[in-house]
Amino acid sequence: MQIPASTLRALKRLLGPKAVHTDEVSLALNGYDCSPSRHRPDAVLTISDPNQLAPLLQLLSKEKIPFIARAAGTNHAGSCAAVRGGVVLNLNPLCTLHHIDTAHGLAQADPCLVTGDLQQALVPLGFFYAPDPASERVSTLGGNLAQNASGARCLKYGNTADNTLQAVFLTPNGREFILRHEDPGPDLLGLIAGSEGTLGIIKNMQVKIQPVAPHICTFLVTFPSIEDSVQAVTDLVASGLIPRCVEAMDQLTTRTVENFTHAGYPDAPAVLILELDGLETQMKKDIQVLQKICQKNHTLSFTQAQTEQEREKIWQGRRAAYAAMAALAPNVAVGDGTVPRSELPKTLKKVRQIIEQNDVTASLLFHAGDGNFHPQIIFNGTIPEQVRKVQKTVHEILKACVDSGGTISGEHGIGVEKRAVMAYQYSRQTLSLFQKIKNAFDPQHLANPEKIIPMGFENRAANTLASDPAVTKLADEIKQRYAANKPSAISGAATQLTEKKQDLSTRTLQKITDIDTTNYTATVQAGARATDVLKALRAKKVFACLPPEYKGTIGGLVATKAAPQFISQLTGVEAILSNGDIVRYGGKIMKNAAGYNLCRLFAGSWGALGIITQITFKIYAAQQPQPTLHLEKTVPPANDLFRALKQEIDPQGLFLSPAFKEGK
Amino acid sequence: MRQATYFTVPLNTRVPGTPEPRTVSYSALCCTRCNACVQSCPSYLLQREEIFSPRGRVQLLRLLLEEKIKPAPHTKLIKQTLRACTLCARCTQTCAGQIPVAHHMIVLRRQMQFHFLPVTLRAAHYLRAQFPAFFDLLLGAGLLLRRVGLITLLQFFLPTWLRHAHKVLPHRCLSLKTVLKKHGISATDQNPDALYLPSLEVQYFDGNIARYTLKATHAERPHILQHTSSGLFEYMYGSQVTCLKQAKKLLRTWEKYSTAKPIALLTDSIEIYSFLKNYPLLFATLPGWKKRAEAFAQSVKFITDFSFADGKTDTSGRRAALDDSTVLYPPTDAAERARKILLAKFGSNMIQCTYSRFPVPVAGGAFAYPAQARKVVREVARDVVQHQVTDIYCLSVWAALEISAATRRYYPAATAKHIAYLQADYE
Repeated sequence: MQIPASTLRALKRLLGPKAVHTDEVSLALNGYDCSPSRHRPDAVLTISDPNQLAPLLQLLSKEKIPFIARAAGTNHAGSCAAVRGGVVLNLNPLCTLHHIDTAHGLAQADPCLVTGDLQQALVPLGFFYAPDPASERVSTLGGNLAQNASGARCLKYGNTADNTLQAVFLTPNGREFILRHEDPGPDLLGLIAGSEGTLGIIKNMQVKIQPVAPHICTFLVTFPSIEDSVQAVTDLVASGLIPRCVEAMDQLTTRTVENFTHAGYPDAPAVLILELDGLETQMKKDIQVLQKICQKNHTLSFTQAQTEQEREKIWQGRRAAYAAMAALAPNVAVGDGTVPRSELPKTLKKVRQIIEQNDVTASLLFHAGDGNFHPQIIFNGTIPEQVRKVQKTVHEILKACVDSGGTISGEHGIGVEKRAVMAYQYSRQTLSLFQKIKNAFDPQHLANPEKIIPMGFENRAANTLASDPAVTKLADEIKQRYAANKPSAISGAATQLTEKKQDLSTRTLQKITDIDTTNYTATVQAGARATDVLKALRAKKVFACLPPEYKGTIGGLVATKAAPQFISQLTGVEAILSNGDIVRYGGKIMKNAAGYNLCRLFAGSWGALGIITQITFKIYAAQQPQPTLHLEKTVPPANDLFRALKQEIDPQGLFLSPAFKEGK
Repeated sequence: MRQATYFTVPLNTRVPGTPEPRTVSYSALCCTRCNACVQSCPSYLLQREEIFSPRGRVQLLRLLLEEKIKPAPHTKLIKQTLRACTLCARCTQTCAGQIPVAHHMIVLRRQMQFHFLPVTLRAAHYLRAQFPAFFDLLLGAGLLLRRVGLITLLQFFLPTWLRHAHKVLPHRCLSLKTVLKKHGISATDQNPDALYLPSLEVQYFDGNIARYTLKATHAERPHILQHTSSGLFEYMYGSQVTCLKQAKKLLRTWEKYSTAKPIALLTDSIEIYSFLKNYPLLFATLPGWKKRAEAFAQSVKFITDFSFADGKTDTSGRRAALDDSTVLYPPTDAAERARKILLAKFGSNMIQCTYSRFPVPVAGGAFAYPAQARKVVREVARDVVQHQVTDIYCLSVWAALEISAATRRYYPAATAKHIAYLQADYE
């Protein structure tokens, strides 16, 4: 599409003549990222003042010009490619670190502050920012949030969404919203995390910073098999000890890396790099526990880094893993499937098989803690046959992840590269809900269009299978009401509602489906009371971040966001929409960057968007700090974004909710 | 890959210093666009636009090679990005595939036949080579104007590079011959024991550097190759033909004096030094000349151009090290701060710096792009000093001042070692 001359003139007036580039060179150089996708935009706009963003978006919205927010452009999935043309907004000049407040544990910055620069600024203060994507030296805070890229430390410290306290967010029509996790209504900050810029633009961010633990110990441990190494990590988590990070490599990768960097890695079928942090006295005990666990799992060698240099050397090898592969061939394709930890050995075996069958060379490294693995396939991009082979391999690997109950992306996102496989991972109904979320935020489809949601998924994706007959029954009931245009008012244990007109209850869904002490997740139906869940967990000697004094159902706890800290513990959700469609997102996986985070959508929605039927959340082997409980006497009115979501997801207003007094 | 038709010279240039020999086109293909290089690029950190990043430059090269972009309508922009590259090569240090972007930029500059310097500077270089006496006269007049303050008055009418030079160059100009004569060093063209190829700044702005450097090498009868070009300027900014011509001229001169035994060729410019060392590569396609260049390269020595404050003499009498060195000479604030902290950090007065990966000539940023260099200079000292003392990748007086901020995180991976001898009595 061609941008009209009058619009270009208006853009130049707004941003300055030097900020608008329409020459072929600039367009070609802003049409790619780290993936093979290349699509030229129609103009490149350099934004040097955050206050230019709102009027700019208003102008683009008026002229119906698609836009793509671009930061470092390190994405591996083609999220930055201008598939439909339009303008690329180069946000890189917005890289100011506004302030660091150690007293309140937060830092405020522009979206394009390089994550590594923030880390460096925090070092002298003895603080750190938990997310550490491998590309942190070049990727930006805003980019990380848009992809929810979290790195190795997320097992212990949570993902990027959890570590973002506040974001100033601009919708595609230029309206500004300040989003926080604890705001009433759906957790929109959590929802935009991982949305790949398809919902709007992040203008400013406040992130959580925390003091560095006084002692950090790094270990290099080898095992006779991948199974043993994963089992060691599971045992470690079961002992209540959550490592700061757990990185792992298989034998082929270790050999390649060792040849490249000489980091001193022993030649073993599985190598783990473990890091523990804490107080000195506690560390001694922890190290003993770790040693015992490793011995139990037939460790071949156990080395602790004694000095900072040794620690650096161990990490140097891991960091050079990409470079080691890049030195072997012109191109490297990096995957990032994520599976439940228990499935990791089986999946990795299968992935190796796929790699061998397709006759490609690949290294395999994985974050053993969260089940996220990165196959790095080397190839020559100029040979079409090789490219086809690699594409086939990547798709097969992604499908293998989905088959193992995992997701096709843990942190790289979907973009255009993995869009097709989304129809394999998600059902038609779930994808349709994704589409509705996109429509609610961006009815004109201007913000990074044609990403995430696959084309023509209606014909390709399967239907959602309900997790339980009781869910099917409830869904049928809602379908009937939908056909009759009869509204429903949903309740759980009705502990938080003042009005007593509820005619649809989740109390038929009381099962505690699964308490998984391998992956450390619990799957519970929404109608189960929190107290019953706690009892069941106690019986299994595990703990969760649940408020013990809460009397209502677990679904109610999520839907009313009574304990905001609990929301960050959610890893999966199943819900019924007003038309009776069942949607499902996530599962026993610790990371998921595929699609919009539905856990965050339904959390705090007060039943307005759908009925939560089942949730999956993290559990722990050790006692967790109790979250604070906020029981609202009056439900705050919905903001405009929540209203837009309601309008899109439940246009008839069939789900009556205290957040929408007037029905819609 | 098909070779673009508008490139007149075949693009199968071997890239020196990379793990294995590869062509420029293959090398450009190896960029996986991971962007690890971007935060190490001074020009990107100032401009924050993709086209000014190493990744953007490699992709541009690739697009040109694949003929996806025609250079004609975009010459101004392409020229701008190629010129903005300070050739500091730190992107290569951070690149997983070790892509020598700076080298490619030189290749691209040459092959696209651009004149990368401002017209006035090119004219000045031409005059220096062709009419040295006239050049000296002009320079003398310029310095006189500066002394009486007229340059300050006129500076808004001067070209940018000259204004920049006015600020950074030392405020004196002594003839090299005068200084050497004053200090009892007599240059000769009869049986010299060394050839000395001084850098531009030594020739015109600080004869004292020459005095110290020559004294340090104990050259009894040096022969000064004033107004002699190494061919580096031509290599960097344009014609390979002229470059080869100059190189042949220098080779012949050296051979003339080396009939009995090879004598040392001394130079105080790290760029010229590394360029001369690479003469055999320059003559790769001419086997006869290559052999002669190999013998020549053996005899090239680097002498430090580290200078002492006025009124101080080199009392230590220590022999300055040959071969590898870098200096922070011009007495600007940045250099001064850098020097102090380097001294504090290295009481034993030494920092090591050699090029182990990137032995191609690197120069010219400060002159070619003064507006950027100025900003960079302000930041260099802080970063060099606070964070990067052990692994500075300084290339010369000028290049040292071209280093920008925010690169320290990338240095741990760098293997660059570099020596600067700071004399103990230098206060």
